[in-house]
Parts: sequence; C-alpha cells; structure tokens
Amino acid sequence: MHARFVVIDRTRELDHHSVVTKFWNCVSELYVLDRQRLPAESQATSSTGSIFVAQYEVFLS
Amino acid sequence: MRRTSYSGLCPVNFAEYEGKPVSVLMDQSVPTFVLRELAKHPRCEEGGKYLGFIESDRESTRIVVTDFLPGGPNAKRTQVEFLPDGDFQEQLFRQAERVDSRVEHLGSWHSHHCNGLQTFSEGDVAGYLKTVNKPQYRPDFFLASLVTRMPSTLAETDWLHHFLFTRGGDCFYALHHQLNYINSPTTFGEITGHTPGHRVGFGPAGRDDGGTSSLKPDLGERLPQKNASGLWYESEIGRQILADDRIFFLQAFGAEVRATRTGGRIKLAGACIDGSAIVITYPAAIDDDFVEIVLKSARNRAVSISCCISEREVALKGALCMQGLL
Repeated sequence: MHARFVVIDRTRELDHHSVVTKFWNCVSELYVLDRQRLPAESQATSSTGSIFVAQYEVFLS
Repeated sequence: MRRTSYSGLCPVNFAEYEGKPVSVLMDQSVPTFVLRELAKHPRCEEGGKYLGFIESDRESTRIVVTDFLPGGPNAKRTQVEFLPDGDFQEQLFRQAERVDSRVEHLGSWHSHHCNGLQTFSEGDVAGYLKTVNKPQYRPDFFLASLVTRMPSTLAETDWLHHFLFTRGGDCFYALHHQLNYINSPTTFGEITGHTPGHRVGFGPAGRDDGGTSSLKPDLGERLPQKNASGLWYESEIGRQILADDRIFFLQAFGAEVRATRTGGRIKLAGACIDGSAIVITYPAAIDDDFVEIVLKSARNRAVSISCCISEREVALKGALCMQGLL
C-alpha cells in the first residue's frame, strides 16, 4: 500500500528545492503523527523541465 | 483489537474438528459489503455482526451467513480498536427479526487493515470464546472473520480470514477452504443498507471466479438506486467526505470558507489571513477518486497537489505548511 502525491509548481516561480523539502517534511511528519509509525520506505522525485513536478510516494507497509 | 490478560490461542485447522459435521456458507456479496464498510473508515478498525440462518438436523449443521449489521454511527473506531454501537445493532436486529423470525446472529467480522496486525488479539479470542459460551447466545457456533489488509482489487485473496468458535470448545478453528461462498442474497438489505447492486463473484474460500474488477467502481456504486446520476457529490461517500472536509476547512479557515460547483465538480475554498487560498476540487464521477488541492498566494503563485481522495487530509495539511513559501 502506498500513498502518492504529485506536486506541480504551476507558475514556475518557486524555489523547487524548498518546495520539495517543505512538503516532504510535512508529509513525512503527518504520516508519523497520524499513523503512529514511520513509512517503511519513502521516495521523492522531481524533474526540472519546463514544468516542475515532484512525485512523492509513501510506502506504508 | 481488545487488550485483556487472556493468554491467547492459535487457531487449529478445521480438518481436526471432531464434532457433528458443520458446513459454513456465506453469500458471495458479503465480502463486497465488508469492503464498502472499510472504505468509510479507511484508517480505523471497522466491523460488523453477521446475520443469517442455521439449518440443523440430526446429522449435520449448515451455517448460512447472508449479511451483517454495520458497526453503527456511535461505534468507537480507532487505529487499534473497534467497539460497535450496540444499541444501533440491537435496533437493526429487532427489525431483521420482524422481516424473518429465523434470523440469527452468527458471529462477527472486524478489521486490522489499518494497523498491520495479522491475527486476532488475545482480547478478541477471549471475547469470542466468552460469547459462544453465553447461555443467551443461541447458536453453538460463532463465525469470526478478520480483515488483515485492504485489497486493491476484488480479485485478490487472503485479505478476509474466517475462524469458527464452538460452544464448549477450548480452541478455535481456522477455516481455509472450508468456508464456501454461495449465492444466497440478503433479505435484510433494506435494514442493513447492503444493496446487492452489481454482484461481484467470489469463488470458494475467498478465491475469485476470474473477475478482476477494480475496487474503485465498486465503491462508487454503493447506493446505485439512489445515485443513478453517477455524480460523485450525490453518492453517500461523497456526501460524507464533503461533510468531513467542511469541518476541516471551518477549523482551518473559520468563516472564510466557500463551496462552489462547476461542471459537476464541487470545490471547497478557504482563505488565509495572508491573502493566500487553498482550494480542493473533488471528483466529478463516482468512479474517480482523485482530488486536486491548489495553494494560491496573494501574488498569484500557485502549487497544485494531486492525490487519492483517501490521502487528501495529508495533502491539505501539506498545502497549509507551504503557505509561507509562496
């Protein structure tokens, strides 16, 4: 079972590293808080083409 | 999952059962109904009380499970505990008795899908042994089922496990291939809310009959007669999610919450003090389960997050965390 979040910077003006870090830290923290356990495995990827897309996958078991 | 000081027991293979022959049968729609209940509370334990009939003669007993009573609105549900709404279930059972006086409470199911525990807790086993031996519990058998995970398709096996407790016994039995799925549709659907709809076939012992239906359309057809339009926001699950999220938005944004509908999609928007806004767009159709959450700053910078609807709360909180970045 995994949760997937796809994040897109629509206006292409953001500091992508900050977005990745902020969102990922938040998601990781929420899973710990909400589910009382750490994700077994986590993965964050991003591309820096014409549009920024970061995909986060949280593997829950 | 209940905690007691009970020492715990492991199940015995039903092949070793030495009492009067007993057959355990279940209508093939029951697992589908179980999944529908799980979908309402994906992060908590869920459960229900089995309904059905007992056919017994001198030589053998047939236990036929056709339906179950839902956990009820006031059930206690957490990630590690499920306590049914007893008053609600009692009321429904009395209604079921008026429909067919032969109806019996035959056991129960509950889920550990949210906590990963693969077996009954010691408290579960102790509770079932106590129930089957109560004088006021009429049958001599108690069927207990455990959901250990949420399958992604109905074709998957080994997510719903069945066990049999017997009156006077000091152990309980694992039913592997000994529980047979049959076509014996519920006659209590008006009471339990379990409308057969599109029946998804389950073969013997939880094995599929070749169908590979996705859960998504199945969850969407929960009330097909009441939601013939196929619109997500008119479905029961859609209404529940919208009600839950409205509370979340009111807590996060106070009075600055607005709901709109465009092209069959509901949008819920909350305005932050700094001028930024968070908008969640819900699915249009009941067979879609993705949402989009957009965080838009006062300077018109925008980030969108797409995810499965069951993960929307995490995405919403993530969006709230990112306000300062825009």
